[in-house]
Amino acid sequence: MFIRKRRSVPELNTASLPDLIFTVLFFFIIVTHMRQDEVKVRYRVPEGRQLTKMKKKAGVTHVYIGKPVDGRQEGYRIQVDSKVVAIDQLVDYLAESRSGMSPDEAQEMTVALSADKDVDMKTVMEVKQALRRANALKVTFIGTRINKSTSAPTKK
Amino acid sequence: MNFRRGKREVPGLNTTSTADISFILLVFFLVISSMDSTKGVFKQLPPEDKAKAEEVTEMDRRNVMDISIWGEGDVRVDGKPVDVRRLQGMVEKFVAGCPDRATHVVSIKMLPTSKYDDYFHVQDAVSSAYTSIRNSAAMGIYHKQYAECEQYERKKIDKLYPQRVMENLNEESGQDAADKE
Repeated sequence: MFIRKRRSVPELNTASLPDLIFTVLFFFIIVTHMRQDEVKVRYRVPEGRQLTKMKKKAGVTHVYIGKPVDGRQEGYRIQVDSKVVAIDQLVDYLAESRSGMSPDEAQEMTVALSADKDVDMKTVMEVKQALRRANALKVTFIGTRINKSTSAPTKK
Repeated sequence: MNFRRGKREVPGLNTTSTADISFILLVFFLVISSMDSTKGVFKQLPPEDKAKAEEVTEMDRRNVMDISIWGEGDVRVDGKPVDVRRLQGMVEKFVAGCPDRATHVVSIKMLPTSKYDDYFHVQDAVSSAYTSIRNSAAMGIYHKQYAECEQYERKKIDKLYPQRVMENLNEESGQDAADKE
């Protein structure tokens, strides 16, 4: 009467766990794509052969030069992070961008310059002057890797 | 003989490890998505120095490599049109063979109407050339790549092979005079 059948511990149903984790996975995939600035200028970066990867994500200010996406206006626009700015305001915006950084980041402040292939050098040089004035001296000219087949053999 | 067997139950699939597999996928994607960093040509700009007046110095012709960017795709070295893909080799040869490496100058001139594309290719070639030169120097002295060298080793190589690039926008003289590392 007092001897009962041995009870077994019921197993936890883990069937829905993968679904949960997949949801997290998709969330991260979507979020990492959304992190980038909304680019308001149209540009195609030039192709290069020996490009180095940008090491850090922190302390990077993005500067874009390209044709405006919406309007039919001529000429090139400059965008700092997510704002389109006039050339003479560029220094101020760079300073503002720097002030939002931690001291360590401000020291290592790097500007990622994504400019359209067809931008004239006058504009680029003006931007460079502004960078120098804003004391943002580390610049990376963004480009894409050229096709291996079309590039000349590099000397060892 | 007993032919009647107990009622058989379908065993449930053990899905405990699916979570682990998904976790691995998750971590993999996290790592990958932070790795797709943008690529480009790095350049250190010279600080703006208002106090220092632009000094015009006579340079030895053999110590100056004159690269000029004209129209679209028209890059000339010492007045002769060259293929941009051959430029890296030319810069390497020039830096290796110049009479005084401490004061040599690679001068890049361009028109205000020149295209950024050509400028980018020239920058790419010049910085590749210096990387290659410093790499071979690092290999010769320290038997390892420049990128793997310690800070003081790099400084030493930088001193041996300084990167001296000058950029000028034609017409506006002295716009970006001494652009040296």
